[in-house]
Amino acid sequence: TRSTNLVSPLDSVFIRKEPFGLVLIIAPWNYPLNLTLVPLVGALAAGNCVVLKPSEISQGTEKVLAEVLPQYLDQSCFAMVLGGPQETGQLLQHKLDYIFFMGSPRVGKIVMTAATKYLTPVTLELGGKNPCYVDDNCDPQTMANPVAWFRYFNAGQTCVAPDYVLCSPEMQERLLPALQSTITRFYGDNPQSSPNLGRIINQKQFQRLRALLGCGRVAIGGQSNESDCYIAPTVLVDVQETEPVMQEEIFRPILPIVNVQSVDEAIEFINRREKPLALYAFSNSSQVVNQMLERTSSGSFGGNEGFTYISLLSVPFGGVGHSGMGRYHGKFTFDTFSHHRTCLLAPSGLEKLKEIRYPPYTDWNQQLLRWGMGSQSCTLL
Amino acid sequence: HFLAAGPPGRAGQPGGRAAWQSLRMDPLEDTLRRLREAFHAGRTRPAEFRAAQLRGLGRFLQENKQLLHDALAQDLHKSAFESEVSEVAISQGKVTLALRNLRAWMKDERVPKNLATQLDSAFIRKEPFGLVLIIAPWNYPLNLTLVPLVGALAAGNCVVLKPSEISKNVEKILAEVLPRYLDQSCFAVVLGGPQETGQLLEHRFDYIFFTGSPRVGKIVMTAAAKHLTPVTLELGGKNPCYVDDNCDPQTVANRVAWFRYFNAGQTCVAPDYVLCSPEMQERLLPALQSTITRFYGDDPQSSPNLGRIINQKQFQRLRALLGCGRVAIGGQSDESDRYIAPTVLVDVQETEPVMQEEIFGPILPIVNVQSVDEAIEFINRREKPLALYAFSNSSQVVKRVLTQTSSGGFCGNDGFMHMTLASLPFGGVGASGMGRYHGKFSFDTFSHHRACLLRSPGMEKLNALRYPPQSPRRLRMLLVAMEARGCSCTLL
Repeated sequence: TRSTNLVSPLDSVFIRKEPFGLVLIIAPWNYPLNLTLVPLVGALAAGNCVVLKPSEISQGTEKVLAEVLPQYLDQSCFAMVLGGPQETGQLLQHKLDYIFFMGSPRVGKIVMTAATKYLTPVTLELGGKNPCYVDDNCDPQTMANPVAWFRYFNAGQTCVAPDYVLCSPEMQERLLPALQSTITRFYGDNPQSSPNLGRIINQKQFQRLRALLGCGRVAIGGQSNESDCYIAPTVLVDVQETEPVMQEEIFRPILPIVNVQSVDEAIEFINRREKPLALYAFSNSSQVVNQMLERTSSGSFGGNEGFTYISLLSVPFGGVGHSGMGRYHGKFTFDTFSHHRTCLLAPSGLEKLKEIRYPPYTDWNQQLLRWGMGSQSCTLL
Repeated sequence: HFLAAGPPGRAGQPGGRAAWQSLRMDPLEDTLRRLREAFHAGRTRPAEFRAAQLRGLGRFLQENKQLLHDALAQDLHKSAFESEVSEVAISQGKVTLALRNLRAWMKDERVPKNLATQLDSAFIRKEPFGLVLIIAPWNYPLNLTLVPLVGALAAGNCVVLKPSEISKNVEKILAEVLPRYLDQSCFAVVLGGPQETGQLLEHRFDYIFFTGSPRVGKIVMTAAAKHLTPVTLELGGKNPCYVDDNCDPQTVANRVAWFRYFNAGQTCVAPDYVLCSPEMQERLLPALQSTITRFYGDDPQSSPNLGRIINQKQFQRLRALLGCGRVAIGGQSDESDRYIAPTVLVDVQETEPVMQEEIFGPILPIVNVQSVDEAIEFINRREKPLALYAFSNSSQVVKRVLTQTSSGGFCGNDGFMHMTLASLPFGGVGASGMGRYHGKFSFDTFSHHRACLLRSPGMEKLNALRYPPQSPRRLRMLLVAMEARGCSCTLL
């Protein structure tokens, strides 16, 4: 029920959640199960029929999704479409009632433009360069652990991973040995043989590597092995804003450090750039953390922590600006895939009560109606 | 094009648009840059600033009420009643609501946590997007400009307003008078027609709120896609009105006629056409005639309570529609007055023009169906409308129509009353639009909901569990921590 004003207490007023109809989910390759199934859960729960387009790049998972998953669902209401960019483009020519896309901003624009044809609403979960500010007032070892863990998880192929660090030269001096120590602890002396370090998805993603590793100076790691699609957990320093590693989302286990002299400079640096999907600030001072939070914008924010909030079903997950539009996770997924239809059911009789609104008008009509509309909690009749 | 963000006191020059060009010219780029700078400087963030803007809007409405009434009468021949009820009072109500709830809406929303985040501070922070563009239509030129504006300002955005050039008299007031009541470092009005709007759309905005036709909605969305700008599109469609046999015709006639002919039919949520059986039609027609006479007298053209068509272009379009089917009631028109009589058409075919486009005029076609099922099929063959109406004494029939169709909003046994409720979201679905607003929904529409997790740095020891090298036991513990609600069990 809802608070009413002009409507009478005899009316029934509510919001009904309805499925949109035919939903398209275009999923990425970096978390090919999670980022395919989690939206699917919401779309199905909301009562839609679903077309799923898993990523062709994560071939092993694609096969399982294509061949095994449909056996568990009612195939009159669920279908898989396989293929690459061309097939996806063709798919987007058709009329759909909702499109949920995860991927790069570049392709996000293509999807949104295609959605325009049928005025299809979209959720775009995109990416960006997620800044990670490390204050001087910090214990380097304490924060090297979370920064490294969130950066090198899945070999850096995470849309919410810290993409680059902003800190002072002094902090950098203390951070580097701490990061090295952390990396050794996590992955051993030979990370390539650690079972806990992922690999780059394919050779194509591997290609830009030389250009990226050529930026600044390699302070930690830097080794790679193309046949294994392996990149060592790497840290770059002396990196300039104009270099390639600071121009695109890295999406590899490479962490550049850019020097700033102060929190203000860090904030200015961040605000000169596109709004990221995630933003991190590490400091012993809660004031510094709050400054970062208040003077920037991003999809989400972590203070003295990485993307743990993803495990929280009670918070919405989504981007802003170039990092995306719309949100999901938990109930937000259900709501994303539902149309919230405002409904009012009035009694068919009792016409006398409605008479006040009909012309011809007197001053009295107007007074009464205005009063009825203005009040929030009481009703006209 | 030009901007009307200049100094006050230039209003009232004769000669219309040409005279305005003597105002200080302010290139669009400069204005947008100025607004962005103000936003980045944080001017619009404090609650006090936003409240001051909202109070300014309130004073604008109070101090210029007669001016606004006159302008609405000139543009659309709106009666004092309609101007008050559907334009001024509604806008004022939204301002009041926003002022009353601003701090509550702005507050961080604390959220339930799992075990892994139990000691953290987790909340959703509402943030303004930045530079918001509002493109407003001409049919409710005050309401549909100010109500989104209230939401955008309350949410802390800087706003560029593009009022409709078609409702010229209200446009003038919005351009010349409204800015005096707002902080002009954070607010600007841009004037012009389709060409200027197209140029405006090439620039980057952080949110675009558009009210208008689906055709232009697509243009807006395409332009927005270039910058990945999120949009709310409040569009239109043909709103079906199913009238069951089990009905009192006079009651239905009153309700349908009021919502159809209000503002001379120029309402995005008005019942666009009626679906009923031939038998019901026989009973409905005399009831409608009786209602129309009661509302507007024997000569509706002389009634102060009936509006006029906004301009010649719309008038010509509507007059052509009078040739569809057969005129059962009304049908008169007067070009010099842009007057069209409250009209009902019968024997209308689905393929005729009056059933192909949104009517947006005081013309009500009746299409015959044999049953509620046929009506539902008819409705579902077409685009999802902004509103859908079903009249029946049987609540089962009403619920059946509700359950088996989709639309922006739905009303059983009445017209668009659901719009007057600030606590309900208003928006379309499918071709009738995307997104929603009104009340808190406006605030939420113009806000980015940012998930925030703040941990105390000393808590790092607790994180040790997640770091490699891993073991199955640690994995089990981690999964428990991620899933469990903190209050019912503890890990340690």
